[in-house]
Amino acid sequence: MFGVTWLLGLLRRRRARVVGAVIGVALAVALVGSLGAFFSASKARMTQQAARGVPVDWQVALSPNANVNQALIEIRKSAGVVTALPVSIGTTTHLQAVTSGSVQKTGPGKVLGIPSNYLATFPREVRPLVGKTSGVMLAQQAAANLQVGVGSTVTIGRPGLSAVKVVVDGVIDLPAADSLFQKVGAPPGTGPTAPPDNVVLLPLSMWHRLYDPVAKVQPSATQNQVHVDLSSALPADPGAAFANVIGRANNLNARLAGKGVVGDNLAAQLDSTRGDAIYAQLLFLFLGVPGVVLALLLTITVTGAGGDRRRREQGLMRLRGATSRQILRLAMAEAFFIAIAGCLLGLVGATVAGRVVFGTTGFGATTLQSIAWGVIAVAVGAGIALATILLPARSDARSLSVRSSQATTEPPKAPLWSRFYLDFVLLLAGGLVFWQSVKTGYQVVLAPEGIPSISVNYFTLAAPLLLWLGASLVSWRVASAVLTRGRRALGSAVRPLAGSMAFLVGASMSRQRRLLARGLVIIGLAASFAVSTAVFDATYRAQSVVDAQLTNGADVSVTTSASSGLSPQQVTAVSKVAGVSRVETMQHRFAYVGPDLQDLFGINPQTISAATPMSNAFFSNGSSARTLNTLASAPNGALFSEETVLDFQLHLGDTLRLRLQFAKDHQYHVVPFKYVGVVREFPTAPKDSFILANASYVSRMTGSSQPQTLLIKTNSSPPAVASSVRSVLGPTSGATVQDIVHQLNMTLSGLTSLDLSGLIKLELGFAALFAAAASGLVLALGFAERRRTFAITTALGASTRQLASFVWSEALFVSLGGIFFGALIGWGVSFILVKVLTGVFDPPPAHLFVPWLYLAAVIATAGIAVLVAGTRALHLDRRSSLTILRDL
Amino acid sequence: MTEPVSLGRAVRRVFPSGGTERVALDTADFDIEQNEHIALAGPSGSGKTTLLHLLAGLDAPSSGQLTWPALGPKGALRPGKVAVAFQGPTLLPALTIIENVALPLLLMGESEDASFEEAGKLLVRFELEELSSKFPDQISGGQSQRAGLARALITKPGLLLLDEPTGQQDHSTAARLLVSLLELLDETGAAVVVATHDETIAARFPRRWSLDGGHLFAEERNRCSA
Repeated sequence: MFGVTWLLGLLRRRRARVVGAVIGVALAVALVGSLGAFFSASKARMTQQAARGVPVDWQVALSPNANVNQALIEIRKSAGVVTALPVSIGTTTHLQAVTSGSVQKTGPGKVLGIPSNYLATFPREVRPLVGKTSGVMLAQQAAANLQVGVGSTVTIGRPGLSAVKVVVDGVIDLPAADSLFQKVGAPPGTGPTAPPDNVVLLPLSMWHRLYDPVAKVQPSATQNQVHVDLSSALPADPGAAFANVIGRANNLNARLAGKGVVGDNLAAQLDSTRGDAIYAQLLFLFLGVPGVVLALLLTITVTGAGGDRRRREQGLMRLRGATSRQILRLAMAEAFFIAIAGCLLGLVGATVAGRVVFGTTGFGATTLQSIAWGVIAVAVGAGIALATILLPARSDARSLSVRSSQATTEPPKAPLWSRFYLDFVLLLAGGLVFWQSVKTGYQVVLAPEGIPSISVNYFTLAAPLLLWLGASLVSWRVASAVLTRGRRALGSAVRPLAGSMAFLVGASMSRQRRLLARGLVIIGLAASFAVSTAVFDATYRAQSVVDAQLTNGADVSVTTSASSGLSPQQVTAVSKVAGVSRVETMQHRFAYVGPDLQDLFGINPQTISAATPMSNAFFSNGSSARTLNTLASAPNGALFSEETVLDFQLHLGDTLRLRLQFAKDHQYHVVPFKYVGVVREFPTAPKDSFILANASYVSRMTGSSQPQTLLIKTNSSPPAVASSVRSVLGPTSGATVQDIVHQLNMTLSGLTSLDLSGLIKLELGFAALFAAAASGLVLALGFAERRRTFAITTALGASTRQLASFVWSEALFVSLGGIFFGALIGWGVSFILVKVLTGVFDPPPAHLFVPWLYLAAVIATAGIAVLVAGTRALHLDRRSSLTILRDL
Repeated sequence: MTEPVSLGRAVRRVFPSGGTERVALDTADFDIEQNEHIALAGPSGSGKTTLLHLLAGLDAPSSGQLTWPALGPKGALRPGKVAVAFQGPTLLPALTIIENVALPLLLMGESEDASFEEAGKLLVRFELEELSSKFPDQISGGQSQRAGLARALITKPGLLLLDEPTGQQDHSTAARLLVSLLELLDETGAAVVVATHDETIAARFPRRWSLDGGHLFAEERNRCSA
């Protein structure tokens, strides 16, 4: 009962302290809860997007002797299988058509037999372009090669049998041809095979009519597959979903007992997603833990500010006969009240933040996750409340009798951490961890292809955290030193504000160095949190644009398959489209490097940068200009990926004998290339190994100068230009036209890039809140603690201006010092953060981006909080000085 | 005829207390002449501190009239013309003893050198010269109270208000302190009102005011001092 009375008394008389502590706990709870929402929502969204992005979840390749119907029954019995459809694939020696009296003939291709409901079941696999969506459908590339359309007759060359004629009912695109024509069951690490360009889709019954005889004379020319659509009900976590899908695929493989092999497209997609999920987890730790630490420090500061008063109150209670246990019970009641109020407020805040920022109603993707994150957030909040109130009270209660019997005659000692140089130790440790991470090439996340387990180097996380804490303690040491040794300089510095009181103000600040240095550090921590978060966000966003340019190639890009190309007339037509300011052609071929088939891009190194920006990060020597000049000066020069250089033990100047397809006979022939440098990334190039060479040399050696890619720089809206280019080229050109705006949206919300926008909004919001709360609360509490001092000074006759000189000098020192150190530390931490999280960036940024507007807004917010705290302190102290004086 | 230092007519001070009013001082009439020494006696809660705050200009009466004819308007009383020494520790913890003592002069705009020179003299007078560079939490309660008295006297005020000035001193120190204080008061010609429970101290002041339940009883003048 007395506990309730005590709490009511606290709320009446010590409201600022209680409210401040509740706010500190609430901030921590809200931050953890909101980040939980982000974390769960991101992971669930990644899994969903991964599942949605796969056209066919499983491609089960049946062995030649397998019975298709029995296999279908077995497959349909597998857990999570929604639909399983048979697909037959046959090889064609050629396709042929007669157009306007001339015969067009292609190289080898594929003929697929699909059931009537295939397009409805797997809509992402086949994209209808022209004509019917049933019957005989010709892939657009084949249609372009044969120069045919709907209603044309095409001859299909069958291996070992006579050719047959079919009439084209429709023209289609195969957006996922790579996976559709993959070699199912190939061991991991096997080089990719180029998908065929010449593809015909037939109704399954027609295929059997045409190809069952082929199977008898040449069994290797046909194959049966079962394409499977799996239920989207997957575990929310991409890693768990990956393991789940792999497990089910293994189960099916076992049950098929050699009659078939599962090509697990869904698992392959989830495999790449789970790495991103780990980065989301790392970001949660990187951005969340400092926030929680900050909330903890803020709460410690708030509760610690009332420490002297609490000790006096405890002393009075002891004098009146209260036992330590009774005193502790009261502290416990206070801690519980603050924990409950802070947690409730924080959970409401997290719910609101989750709803506004992520559109979620709970803290997780599922009810269980919501409960788990809710419990974690509450545990953090309760822990902070108990640690900041109960532990000091317990310590005070134990030492009270000893303390009260001792006169405080010694000047305050430096804090323990300062005497043991913990700040420098932390900096050194952080530096060592960072150095270690530099040595390992910032490999924080290792997700070996195809293996369910992921290796995360959490140790690396310690680098920015240790440096953040170490640098903050150094700022404390510096501030203390300035206040101790620079007393006179301080007096001179505050003279414009304090006038004749400057000496006293300087002396007073020097004596209050512990309080002021602590306030400066808290504001510095909050400012550094805001700066590092904002710089990281700005850099991430800027790199997203670079990433989009890298993926798209330029403002607008036109791509065709490696085996076809764009005619000079088409290039000229595109260059005349309104809004096009520059067109750069690029060849895209395939080349065998030993047994590996790699993409080869032929460029003009001297003009390529006119159409698309060449980032220094694209090349291992860090200079795009130098590398491209080197390439231009060596006609047979080539840039290889680091992986190829390592695998083939290449040294600069080595000559490599690659095999490229020649135009004259469509056969691969040896072409020598000189290794002149390393390329990491390049517009439109794949993320794995590729080769960059001079287009003129490739043209001369292969006998074909046809470009497969156009990089277009625009001087008007890229989507509008892309639309015009599409119209000019027409649907049967086989060209894909994309623009950077569309690509940027894909990158920012795509699968391989984390959607940080929600998290960043949340973090920036919290950072601004922390900065304002730290500046306002720390100063307000500092002033509140010295209300007695201000009351005495008022009683002695100090004018408001004289009193204000104390208040504003301290406020300026603490806030400006805090912002200065915060900016410095924040910049350093964001530099390390960006370095350590290199894996998030693709390609790594050349420099950090500073969002000045946001930082100005944070400084303005903190400035307003300081103004409010100072003004309120002056106002209250004038008003309440009499009440205080009555107690003197 | 000289003007009185302070003049009160029907001075009343009430404080709100749980929805009602508590009368701390009830329609008091008084006047304080220059160089007049007054002992203010009364039990705890009788209104002594309220009266001292009113006289110092720290508080304003709820009704009635309170003026300082010889000192000027209320806004010009502090620092300088009226000084208060409180019962409890009131030295500023962030300043050294000499800085604390010099503070009122600095607040008045005096130069640092002049202020510290004057503060040094007073510290000698109050036997505190060895503690001048100490901080308040490094000296005893009695020393702190003496420093508070020195601080009150440094501006040579026209009206000095003391609340239990020897409350934290041992008997002999209290006696010595009182002698010093009265000597100083004679030198400066200041009027003084001393709130005290100590009858021996009260007896050494020529005029005595008693407060009981907010009612002020002012004795006649012309009693001799010890």
